[in-house]
Amino acid sequence: MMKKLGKYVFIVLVTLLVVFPVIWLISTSIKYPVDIFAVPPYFIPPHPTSEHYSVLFLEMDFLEYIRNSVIVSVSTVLVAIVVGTLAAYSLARFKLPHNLNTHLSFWVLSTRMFPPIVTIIPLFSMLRAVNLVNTRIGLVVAYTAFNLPFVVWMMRGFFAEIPKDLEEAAMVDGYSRMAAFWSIIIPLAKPGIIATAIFTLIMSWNEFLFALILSQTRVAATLPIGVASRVTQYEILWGQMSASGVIALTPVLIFAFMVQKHLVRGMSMGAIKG
Amino acid sequence: MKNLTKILIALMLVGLICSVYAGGKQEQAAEVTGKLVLATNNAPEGKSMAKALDEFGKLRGIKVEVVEAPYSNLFEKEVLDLSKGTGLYDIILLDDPWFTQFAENDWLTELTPYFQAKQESGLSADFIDKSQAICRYPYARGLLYAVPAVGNAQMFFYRKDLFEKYGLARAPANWDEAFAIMKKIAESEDNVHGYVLRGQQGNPVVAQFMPVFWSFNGKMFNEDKSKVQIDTPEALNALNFFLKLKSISPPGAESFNAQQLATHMLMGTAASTINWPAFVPTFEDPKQSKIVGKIAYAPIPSDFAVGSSEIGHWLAAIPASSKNKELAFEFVHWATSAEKQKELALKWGNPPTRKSVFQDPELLAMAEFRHYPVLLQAISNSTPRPRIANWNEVENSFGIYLSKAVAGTMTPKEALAAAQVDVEKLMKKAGYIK
Amino acid sequence: MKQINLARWTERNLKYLLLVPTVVLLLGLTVYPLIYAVIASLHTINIRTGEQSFVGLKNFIAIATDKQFWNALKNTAIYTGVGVTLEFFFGLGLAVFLSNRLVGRNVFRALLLTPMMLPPIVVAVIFKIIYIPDFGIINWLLGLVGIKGIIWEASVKTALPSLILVDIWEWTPFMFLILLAGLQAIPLDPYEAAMVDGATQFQMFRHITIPLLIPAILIALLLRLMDTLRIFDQVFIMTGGGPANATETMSLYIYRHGFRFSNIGYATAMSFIMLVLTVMISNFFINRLKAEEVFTQ
Repeated sequence: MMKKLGKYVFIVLVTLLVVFPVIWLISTSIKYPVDIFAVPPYFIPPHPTSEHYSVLFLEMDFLEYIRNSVIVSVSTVLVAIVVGTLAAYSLARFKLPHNLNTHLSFWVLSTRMFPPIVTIIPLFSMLRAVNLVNTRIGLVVAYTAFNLPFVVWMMRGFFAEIPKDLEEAAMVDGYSRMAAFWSIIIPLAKPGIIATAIFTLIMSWNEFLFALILSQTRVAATLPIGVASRVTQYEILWGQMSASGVIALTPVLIFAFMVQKHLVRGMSMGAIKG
Repeated sequence: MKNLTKILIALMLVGLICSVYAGGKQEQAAEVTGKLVLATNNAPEGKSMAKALDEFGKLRGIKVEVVEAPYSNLFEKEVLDLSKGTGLYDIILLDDPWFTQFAENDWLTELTPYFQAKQESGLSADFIDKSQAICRYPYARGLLYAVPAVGNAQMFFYRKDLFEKYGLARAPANWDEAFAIMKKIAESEDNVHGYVLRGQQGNPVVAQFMPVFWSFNGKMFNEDKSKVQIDTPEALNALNFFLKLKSISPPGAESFNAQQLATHMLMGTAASTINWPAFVPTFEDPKQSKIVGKIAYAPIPSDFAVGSSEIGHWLAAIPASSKNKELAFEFVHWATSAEKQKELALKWGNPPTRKSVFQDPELLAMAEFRHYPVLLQAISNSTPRPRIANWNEVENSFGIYLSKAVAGTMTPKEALAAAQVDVEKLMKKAGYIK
Repeated sequence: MKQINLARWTERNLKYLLLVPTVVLLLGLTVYPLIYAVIASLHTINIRTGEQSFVGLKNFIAIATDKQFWNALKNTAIYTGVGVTLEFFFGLGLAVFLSNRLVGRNVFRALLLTPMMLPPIVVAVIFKIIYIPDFGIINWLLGLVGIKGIIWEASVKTALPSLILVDIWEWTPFMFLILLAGLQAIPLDPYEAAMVDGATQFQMFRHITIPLLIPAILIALLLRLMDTLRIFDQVFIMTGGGPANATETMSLYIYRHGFRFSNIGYATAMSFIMLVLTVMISNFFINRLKAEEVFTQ
């Protein structure tokens, strides 16, 4: 009994430690500037205010950042999942010549090693050549390319888990390869797809450096850029900064809570089993 | 072989789709001409220009867009756009130390012809001389590439009440006098530090050190930039004094930027600092400040030079790649007129660059503008950061060694000697030293 | 007739067709930048005129004697080494702990995953607020138990550890997630057999869990290593590399030269070196993974 209680005390403490900074952020976002640095600190603000939020939405057009972020990350997820899943299926199911299965897989993974700092200037030139600088499409292209290694690697693992007999049986029944893939394999790999999608979503929602260089105006700038715009040189915008942080993390948190089960289950099917 | 052809065909298809798409985009871009895009700093100085652009848009019935970026990102956004000639921005606000690089690379539009089209010979004489000088390349004498928009220069901020309490009822005349009081305050007052030092590596620590450097009669370079004068007795005196200031600053000064300086002043935990006028309105706002009405402003205390305040104007310029130069100039001209500058000062606390606005009786009668005579004096006697194209790199290198001295990992002597060597290398690379 | 041919052709070449989009995108992302990097690293740009001139290997030679480069490399190595190691052990501990039966397990899991979902830039902001020496919450809390005056990211001694702490907070959940998933994928039979043989908990962990968890461990370490080696956002916002260069990392140093000083040649030459180092380190893990893969097949 004692041992069990100890376990709970331990996990509750760890969880508090992990969650505390987030709670502090939320609390800061509803404080007046004078209260933010009060000593001793207020855990619950004495005079809560929604001022910072209204500034962000009314004066800073935060809705536009949110709109861009939603469009960019959702499109990235869709494109990356479709493109990456197809490639992963090929790598997992077919025998390619020259042991390409292994080589290609690792080559795909290795593209993740490129420091973004190396790719960013050439990428800017490339996107400029096709007039995609400062567009959401440009960001989607860049993010898709960045998330592909992860998607391919994860999905390859999932497909390897699914017995080959299933589609072979279907093909004997007259299904084409793609039809079998679509109606048999995809449903089985669903948890994996969901887990991968969540990761891709988080990555593109949070990405900062590329958005900073590739998006210049509100036409394309995403939420992290909006958050960074509150980190100003002089003025103390701790309140607005925190509020923008809360805005950026809320959707991800809600989403993560909804799909948390899939995340662990999906992951345990996939990548890690190689 | 066969497969290769197929892959090539596929690749071409992808290319085709891309180019069709790009073509579509171009048309779209052509539709929205008449739109003005302003790139600006997201601090208060940038904000007043942004507000002005909004108003200008409404007035003229044109579309406008403001791109606000943090100070550290604004530079790279502008350089990327200017150097690649993307033409995304029609008006840029730039910090004056960037000006030399932008002008040398022909990235900016020369403005005199646009003034002449308006039957004006150029910048009005109403603009402070020092403010005009930094808009020309070469400095003071050359062609005009920008208009001074935000009249920043550093001032000495101090707690009038505390300085008075410890025996000084006026602004300190020199550093000795100031330091004696600051030290007394630090020793006797609970929870108040004598000074708050901006010590973060890079631009912040250099911006903080330069006025001290100048006030000890130091100069970073000689007149034609062919000699570096960092490892000198003047610099050593300045740096030693800088460390004395650090010793009476709050803990963590090694990483303070302007924000933390303001926080300490606002919370009443520091008695003095050197900072930009952008903070003045904040200090008088009871929602943010515990020291309303207790702050006074003065020129940088100095035994030697009068020009020890650092000028840090924001300049409005029109990129050479802008697609809307006439309209952009219209805006710049309108937003820097005497009438508009006064309005921006009243509404958003924007420090002006015209003498007439600084001396406007209506403004001078208001408490928020009680620092104007000091600021006008500070700008008129200010020194610009060295007018070199590679200032960012020089500043960074100097900043590292200042930071090391402030953090105590190098002695002042060592730090200056090392900085001398590094800065000389940089000046050679850029061709200033033959 | 033609249609059937096309269908057949598609079916026959399906394995390649499926790969095309991925390969094209990744080639675009790596090949052109790589060529660009090679060329740029052999050139230098005059900051005053924008002219480019060929300088051969001069950039690389200059890097070899650049003290700040070595300092940045050292900091990156410490950051990565310490950060990833601690994240691994904390993550493993939590994963083992939370694979046990526990009421409310899912709630704890979800809450523990929060840090990795936050935008790194928000994380940097949070810790900037928390760390402020005089008014920050963490020093106030520590003050309650008698620890006073830590100046966190502002002092030369504590700056790098403070940043590593942030990294650990943010990314231990990622380790935790992958290792937890790995644990859940381990079948129960080996444990049952071991129980029959009378093995202790620790023996089972050492001889069954760890070996079966190796692929998950390798992947987790590899992904974290690749990401940590290029750490940028948090350092950029929190310290900008200071104080006294104590937190200057490779990405930051490269960024500084590439974007602030317009030294594209020097910056790409350094990125090149960084790329080679990353590939070498990653290869160690990748080879192990390949070996595992052969083993499992």
